[in-house]
Amino acid sequence: MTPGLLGGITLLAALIFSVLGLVMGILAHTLRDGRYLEAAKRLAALTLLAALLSFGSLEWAILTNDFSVSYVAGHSSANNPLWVKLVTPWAALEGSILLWAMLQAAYTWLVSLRVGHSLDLWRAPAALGTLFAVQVFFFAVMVFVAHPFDAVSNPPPDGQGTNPLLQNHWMMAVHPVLMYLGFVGLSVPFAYAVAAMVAQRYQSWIFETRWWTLVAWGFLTAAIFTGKWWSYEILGWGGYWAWDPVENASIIPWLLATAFLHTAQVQERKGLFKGWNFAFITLAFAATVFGTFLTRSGVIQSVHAFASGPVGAWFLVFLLGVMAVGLGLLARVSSEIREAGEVRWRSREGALLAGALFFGTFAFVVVLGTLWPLLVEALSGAKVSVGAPFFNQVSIPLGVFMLLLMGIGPVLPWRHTNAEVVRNLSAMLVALGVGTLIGFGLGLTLGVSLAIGLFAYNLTAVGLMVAQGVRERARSLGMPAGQALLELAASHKRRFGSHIVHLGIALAALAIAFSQTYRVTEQKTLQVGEVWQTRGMEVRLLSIGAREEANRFAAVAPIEVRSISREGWGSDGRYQTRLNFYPQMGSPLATPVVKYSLYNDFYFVLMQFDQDKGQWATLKIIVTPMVGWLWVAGLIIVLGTVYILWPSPARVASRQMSPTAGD
Amino acid sequence: MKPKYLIGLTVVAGALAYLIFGGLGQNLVYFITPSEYYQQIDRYQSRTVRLGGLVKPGTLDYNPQTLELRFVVTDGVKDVPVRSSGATPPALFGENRGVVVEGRFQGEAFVSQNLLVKHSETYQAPKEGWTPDEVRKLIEGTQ
Repeated sequence: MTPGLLGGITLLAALIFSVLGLVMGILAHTLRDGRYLEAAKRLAALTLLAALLSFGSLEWAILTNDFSVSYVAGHSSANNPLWVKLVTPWAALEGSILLWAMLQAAYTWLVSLRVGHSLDLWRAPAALGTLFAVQVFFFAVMVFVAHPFDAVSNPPPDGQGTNPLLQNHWMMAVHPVLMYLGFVGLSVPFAYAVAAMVAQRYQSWIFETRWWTLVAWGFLTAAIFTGKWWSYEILGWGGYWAWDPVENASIIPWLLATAFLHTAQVQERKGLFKGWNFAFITLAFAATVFGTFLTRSGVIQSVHAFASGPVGAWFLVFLLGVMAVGLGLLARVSSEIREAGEVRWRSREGALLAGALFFGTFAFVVVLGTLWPLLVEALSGAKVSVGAPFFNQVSIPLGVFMLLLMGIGPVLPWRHTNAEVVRNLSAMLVALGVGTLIGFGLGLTLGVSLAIGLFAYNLTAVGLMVAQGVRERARSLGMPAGQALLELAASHKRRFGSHIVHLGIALAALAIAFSQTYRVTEQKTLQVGEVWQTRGMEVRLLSIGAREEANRFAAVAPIEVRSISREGWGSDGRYQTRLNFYPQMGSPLATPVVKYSLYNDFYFVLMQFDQDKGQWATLKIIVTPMVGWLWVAGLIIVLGTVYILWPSPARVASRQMSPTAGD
Repeated sequence: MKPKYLIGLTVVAGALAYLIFGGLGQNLVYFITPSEYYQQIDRYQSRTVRLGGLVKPGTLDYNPQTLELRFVVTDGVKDVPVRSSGATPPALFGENRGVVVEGRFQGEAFVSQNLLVKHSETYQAPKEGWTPDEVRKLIEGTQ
């Protein structure tokens, strides 16, 4: 048995199991027979097994350099280091769809384990059926148009190699997997929403769906932040976000899932916003397919785009199908889920809905900006692109409003405002004013000063809320404040976790404001031994040399940096700036060296060097303040999410008692 | 819904629409080839455009002292000389390769602030005798 054969057979098996699972789901739903549901559960496990075997075969083929397998011949090389080989399955189209389908099978299997527990028998057939339908799509794409295991009749002695940009940093092993876990994870909330609408049970789905959405959201957040960091570490431009279509593709589902996470709380608590929740979750899942369609179809060009092919049309049809099912069902049930009460804007629910609408609007703007070039081309035939300035211009005011709402929302009570709330809001506004004025006092720009003010404002909001809870508990139970805080944090995980996440977001906004405003770039050509004084540093070019490595060849220019004034603090050290040459590329790939410090990041890039005599090298230095805190903020957000999700006896008990006790 | 909310909503929607469509109008960057430029020179003068083509062999010149990168972008029919101030990583950039430069025409030359290159997963071997159509196709895959 060759890996190619095993992979192809198991792939076909996975497709067949998924089709059977879909049929069983439909039978279980229409005939109301539990035996079909049992069969669907077994098929979920079988599909996962087949998908794991298929993925394993691809790894096997890559590790054993089996170039008779098309994917390996096209995207791997015998010279690649082991870790590159291990991550090669998701370095190109077919393999990444295989990873996607495998993760989809894993999620479906996890959902099948919930049947009979939290997923009741009325909703389970539709939920599993939806997931099987999604799975059928992915396996069918591979079997019919993007087969990773096609046989190569004359196997070449070596493959064409892996995209150098992808093997230049270990993040390749982390970021794509996180992104797929997030994207695929959103299929589960979608399946639950479809099941709720099909089974006409509009309330019970929300509790577990919120949990699944948070899982996917956590992965998406982690993926977005690691992607930013990767782009920062490797691309040599000193930035981390360019509003590239693929970056947009990751932020659109994130925004819509965020909107859902906020309105879902209102439904949990008061049974409102059912329609919004169905809509947000459908659109969030559709957005993941939309993103894949954009980048895999060749309609929109992007740095992440794989070669175009027939896959695009498949994804377009699938996207339309998802939208039609989700929104069609919503239209059908809309009269049954009409809101019972009116929304009170000056309460928690009002702030949550306003926040969700901002997230939805933001998502809409990003979609519009991403698709605008297509519209212009269709209408006038001109090729245009929408630049990053457009997105920045729109996202700054939207971001400011969201940061304002983020502070207000949790402070507002579910019922009417009272004196204490007014006092808290006044304190927050004072913090906003003082923070902004301090920024101005330090001579910072309006935007950055406002970011400082908003950070202080959100810090105050969280501080006041925590302090208030601790004070009340300490007083009523007569315990020290520290113990009260620990007990509250353990018993109100959702509330404390969301505080942590909100603080992370506020910190991220601060880091973005500083780094985008005060980034400076310096460039100079240095002779070997020459010293360059710039931005509080003394930079000496030590030598220029060459280095031979297994999969590449590198030009290395070591430099020595000493700080000579406050601006250069933290930059000291010896750094190996380098240009990597990969055999499959005609030109070198810059590999920046980044020195992190508490305030400034120092970014050294070798741009050019004297190829004849090795006497000079052109260096670029980028100094960016606070960008390191962006990664810290990402970590805080993910840790806050994990804190909410972390199972605890208290949480399980509270979920069973009442839907609102976890608040 | 109460009328005051309706008014508030209209104001917010109006501001947003202004922000979006005003912003879109100002930030559209046209994507042209050298031949298209010579057909409508006036239209593209002193506004930001993206010029796409191939780096003409033998024209790439880097001055280490001024950090200026000079090359000629061609679509097989027309050539445009480009000056780039070098604030660009050299990844995937080279002679006979597809390139997109973002910048403005200043007289005869194109002054680029930003050099975009194709991050393709497969290396496209250079070939002789490009036609504008092929170049168009190539640069549409380049950003």
